[in-house]
Amino acid sequence: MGQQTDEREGAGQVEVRTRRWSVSLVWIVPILAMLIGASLVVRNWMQQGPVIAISFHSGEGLVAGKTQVKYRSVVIGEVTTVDLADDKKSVVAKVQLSDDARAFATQGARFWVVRPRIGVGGVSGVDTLLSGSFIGADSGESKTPEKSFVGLELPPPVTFDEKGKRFFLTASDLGSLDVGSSIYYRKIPVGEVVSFALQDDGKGVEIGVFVQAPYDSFVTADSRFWNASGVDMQIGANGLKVDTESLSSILVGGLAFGSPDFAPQAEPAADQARFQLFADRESALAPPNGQAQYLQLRFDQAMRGLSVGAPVELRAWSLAGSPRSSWTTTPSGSPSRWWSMR
Amino acid sequence: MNYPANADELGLCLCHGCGQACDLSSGAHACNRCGAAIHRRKANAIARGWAFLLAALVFYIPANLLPVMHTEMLGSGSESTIGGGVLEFWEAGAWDIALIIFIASVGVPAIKFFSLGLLLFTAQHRSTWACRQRSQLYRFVELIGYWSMLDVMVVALVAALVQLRGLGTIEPRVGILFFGMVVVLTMLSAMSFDPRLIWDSHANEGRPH
Repeated sequence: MGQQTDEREGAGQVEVRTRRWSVSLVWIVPILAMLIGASLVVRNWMQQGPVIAISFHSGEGLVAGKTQVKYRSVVIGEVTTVDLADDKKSVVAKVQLSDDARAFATQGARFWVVRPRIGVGGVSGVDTLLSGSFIGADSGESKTPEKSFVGLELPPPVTFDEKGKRFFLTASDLGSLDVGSSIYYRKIPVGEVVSFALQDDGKGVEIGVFVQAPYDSFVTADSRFWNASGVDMQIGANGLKVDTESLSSILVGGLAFGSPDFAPQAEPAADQARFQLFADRESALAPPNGQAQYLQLRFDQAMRGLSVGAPVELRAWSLAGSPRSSWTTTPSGSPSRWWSMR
Repeated sequence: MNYPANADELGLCLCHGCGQACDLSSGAHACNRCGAAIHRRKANAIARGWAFLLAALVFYIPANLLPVMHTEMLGSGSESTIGGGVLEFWEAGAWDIALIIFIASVGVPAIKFFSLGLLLFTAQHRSTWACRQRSQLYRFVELIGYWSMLDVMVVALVAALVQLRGLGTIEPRVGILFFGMVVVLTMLSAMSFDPRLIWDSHANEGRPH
């Protein structure tokens, strides 16, 4: 094409230097460009992981194309769109995961929005004050692929791969405990409360706790959990006795566990084991009580000074409230006699 | 119209190096004064023009799809593409800035592609259509070539200036490299095109030999 000019008259005598190749070398440039372009497309296509949908209660802090998904502060994906769900009751965020984050598109993975939170137990997510919210992720143990998730409203207190054991405690009420309250073993914080729920019959609460490894091996079948919230004050014959776990447990509440001294060396408790939560250390570490029995007493004398909660004593042993099993049976069949002490 | 004789018809050719009019009738292949190779027209002009233009077109895609700039302000980072930046300015109400960016980074390369494509196509087919306007078009393409690096300059300047560590940093991203390649390749394409090709067929048809 470019050489056509040499055919013209007037330039006829000019010898034409011919190239060895008929195709111009300049065509290497577009071929190279196409190769680079194709490699970009292929690389981009290879790097793209699955797209998942996470539904949240509110879209606060979620920006399409900006909000990132992070696991251990490493970016594993990005929110591509934020839309209202079909029923308009939640917000669905579509997330493009990167290829190496494929493990997060499986059943059991958890996602939550990390926002700055200030609670009595501490301050978290301060970095999001400036950078804006991001979505925290935690992988599950399942390998089954899953495309849609329900985002958590609160960050899970325990991530999937944290080592330790979960236990369930039953108590009559929650007291001043909350998710995040610490668990102490010999006054060392070893875990925290991760969940609480009312029992199905409404007659108590079930508190889920997590004890980190290696302390989880100290929870044995004999262990007793008690509420270590606040300050335990006792005025006795030997003066004022104040007992508390830690300053933060006074403010936020906490739990403690231990084994009674008379307990034999027991096997570590199994994961998901159930325990009873006692109100205080004393009742927790006391030897186990028998069944409570209710008696109705009739007195001939005046009942002055007797009020609900007054102790019932037998040979200076306090029976009421915690009657000892060995004393509840009347010895040798003789009729027991009761009198009010004033 | 009375045209003076064509250099071709006189067997003359201008040396690129020193401007000497060389006599081709003697079979010379190099300038007899400075020794530079002489060509009647730029060598292989149309093939080179097409090749560079095609390469530029290919690079135009990643230049627009890939992020050109990474802005990190107060801990929140974001990557911006050219199109995304235009949209952002437009939505923020700064339609004038959006328009400038759009014209400089999308419009100008598109005009160049179209113009060069048109010039190459017509020259290849020895068209006699609107020769004068096509010459003007070529001069226009050469002219805007100087200004096409505006985006690259902006990114380079901003990236050099905004390095405030914790407060904010701006870093160039790979898209701007492709954008620069598009500009360079279109300029190469325009450079390898010979505007005299526009008139060659015109001279053949319009002039008695």
